[in-house]
Amino acid sequence: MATEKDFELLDDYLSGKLSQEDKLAFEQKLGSDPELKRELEFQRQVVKSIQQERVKELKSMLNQVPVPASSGAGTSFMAKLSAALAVVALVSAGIYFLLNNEDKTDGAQKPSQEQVEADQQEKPSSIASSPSEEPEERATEQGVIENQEESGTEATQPVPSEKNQSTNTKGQKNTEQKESQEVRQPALNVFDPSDELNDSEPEDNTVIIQNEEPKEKVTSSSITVETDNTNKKYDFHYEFRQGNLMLYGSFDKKLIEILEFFSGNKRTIFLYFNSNYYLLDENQTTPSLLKPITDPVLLNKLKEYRNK
Amino acid sequence: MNEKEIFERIQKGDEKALEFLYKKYYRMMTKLVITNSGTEDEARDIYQDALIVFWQKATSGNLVLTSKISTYIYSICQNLWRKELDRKKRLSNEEKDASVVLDTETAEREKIIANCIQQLGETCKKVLMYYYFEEMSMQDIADKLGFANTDTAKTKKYKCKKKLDELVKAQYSEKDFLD
Repeated sequence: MATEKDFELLDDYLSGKLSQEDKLAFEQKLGSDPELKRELEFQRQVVKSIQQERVKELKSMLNQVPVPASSGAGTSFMAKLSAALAVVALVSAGIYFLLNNEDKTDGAQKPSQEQVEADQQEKPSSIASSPSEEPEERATEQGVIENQEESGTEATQPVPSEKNQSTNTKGQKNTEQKESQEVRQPALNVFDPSDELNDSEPEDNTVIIQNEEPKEKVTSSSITVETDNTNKKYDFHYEFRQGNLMLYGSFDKKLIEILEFFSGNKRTIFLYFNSNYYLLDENQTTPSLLKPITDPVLLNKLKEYRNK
Repeated sequence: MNEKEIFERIQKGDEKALEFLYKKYYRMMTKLVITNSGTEDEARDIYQDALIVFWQKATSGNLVLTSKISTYIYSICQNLWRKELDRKKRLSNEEKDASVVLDTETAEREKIIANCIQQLGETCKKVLMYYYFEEMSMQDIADKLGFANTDTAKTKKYKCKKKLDELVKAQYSEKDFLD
């Protein structure tokens, strides 16, 4: 029979707590002591069972925890739809999106962050067979649940400020410049959706609009979206026409999400499409090519916010 | 609770914090499996397993968190689900009956031990589980179970383990499992 000392030794050996030296000595002893070896096998079984019982216990504990509504319904609901367009409006109050043009610090940070970014992106895409599928379903499911509430909140949303409108007259080149500046602003960490992630529930509203035909009008968000894939000249462009977003190109088959961030009476709009994020300038009244956001800091935040 | 608080509570073996996390990321994590040809049940199972892997690593002090908790758990879910898909694929490729040769004796032994564990008192059970599964420190075990100090925890663990061994051995000899 094992003495207390042997017992502790066995125990430590099994849990890998012995030093290399002690481990070797113990293994030598094992080789010459069949009874000790049998005892070790016995202990191994017992410890394994204790672990298995604990896993069972934890699982049944988790099974008691009430969880959010089943997502199964959303999926089958989705399957019935011919799925063309979804618009998600995220409304977040109290986000300070400062108009700050300092971007000196960006350059230095970029390379390493891009690396991290690339790593993070690799994993999810390797398993998700079609990246566009997942968000679409997620979005729909949220929409189904939150649909009733959205209209009231949407109505109270502020319109773009006067100041923004004034840049209207400045021609396309200027606007593009302005765009690239805006893209960098959030890198200053003034705007941080992840803070909201950690708080209980951010105030957001999710709106889903479904249409069968690409040309059909999409309504009931504060932004109306139309797509047009017939225009040869503009294959991946956008413009705002009387406050409505026009998208040119083959958008019809994939998910489109509009992310709106509100801060005071200012609104900032991002487009999510085909795994890329684009900043939309509401004063863009001539078709302009969509350019994916590349700033890794901003990308991360958008991603975090969207995947919430 | 912020990220850091949650993690610290998890490290101490706080089940309430685990339940909190479970709820928080339920939809996000199960979605991963469901959108990759898994059922609702499989999704819940994978998520629970992943969360428990995270829990075990955290309580044993073997985890230095370098990313967000959700990122970490998400990657465990991905790995577990990939493994499960591989397993299913193999299972359908092979002749089904060939792979399902159950080791009945091992199963029998496991059942006996599980039974004996359930016969222990609640404290004994917890001490052994915290020690062998959570791999918590004696200090944390003492704190959690209200023991005076680490020595009490050590003694308790030794006695409970001995008791369990005896219970199991008695059952084994009845079934002629001991040589």
